[in-house]
Amino acid sequence: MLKSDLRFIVIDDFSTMRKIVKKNLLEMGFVNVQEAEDGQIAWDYLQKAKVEGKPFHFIVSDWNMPNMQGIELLKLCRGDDAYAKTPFVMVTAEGEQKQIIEALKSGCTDYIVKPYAPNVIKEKMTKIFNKFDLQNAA
Amino acid sequence: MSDVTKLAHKNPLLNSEVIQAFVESVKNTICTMTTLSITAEKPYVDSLLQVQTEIAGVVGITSDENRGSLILSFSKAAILEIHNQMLGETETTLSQSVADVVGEISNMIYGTSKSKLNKIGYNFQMSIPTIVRGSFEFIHKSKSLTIMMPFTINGQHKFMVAVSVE
Repeated sequence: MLKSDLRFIVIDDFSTMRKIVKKNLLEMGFVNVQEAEDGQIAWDYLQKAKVEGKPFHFIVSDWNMPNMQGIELLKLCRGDDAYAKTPFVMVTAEGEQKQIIEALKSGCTDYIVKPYAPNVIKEKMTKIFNKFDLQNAA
Repeated sequence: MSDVTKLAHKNPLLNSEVIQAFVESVKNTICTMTTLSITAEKPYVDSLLQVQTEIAGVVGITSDENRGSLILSFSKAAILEIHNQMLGETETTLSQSVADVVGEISNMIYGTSKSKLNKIGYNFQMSIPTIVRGSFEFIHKSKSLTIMMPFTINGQHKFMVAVSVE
């Protein structure tokens, strides 16, 4: 799959982290990035994409957001046949072990604690691309 | 037991580790997300919670025993410097993008502080920051203790972090 064909969705209630993650992805050559302001808006985008037969390939989400939190979105995705195995990375200021464990038990692929250095997200993404069936895009 | 002794048992701000956790979290957040230099000045107690600012992020602090607020107040020059460094964009006004940076920094600083403090036995909960712009003042609750933590970035632009807990 070409990098330009991979569809990402980046979810955060503040535009700051959406911009930073999107910039990181663009630098890696991924140009198809949808932004969403909370878990509910993201879920709507995810369902719409599924119905259209073009589900997202990669989900990057904050934890603490209004309307629907990232952890709820993660659980919904893992219960949905289209997103049960889609890479889901939590990028959050929630850095406590109990939260990390809860996310991983709920099926989170990887976990990045904010603040993070610019190279961290690129390293994590590359590892995930190698682990999943996205090697050719890495 | 004197009032001060009672407060010492109940108010986390009388524990120097708590203040240090906030100071370190502010420095770590700014240093990680920007290339700006940051200097922490000496924290002090403010009985009135006097914060005069142009834009601020406010995060509710809650635990089983305590309630309070973390307030990050910035001069326009300070927050524009941080915004432009973080995003590689040039803003000259207190736009929504700048407000979002205030919210995100507040979120990171409280999240980092909370992780440090809960490791030493506190039980603080996460909450979503609110951003306030324009001319405003904060009201100090009579039972609260407020610690003011001044910071300077690049040796010239100042901002204030206030933690108030009752």
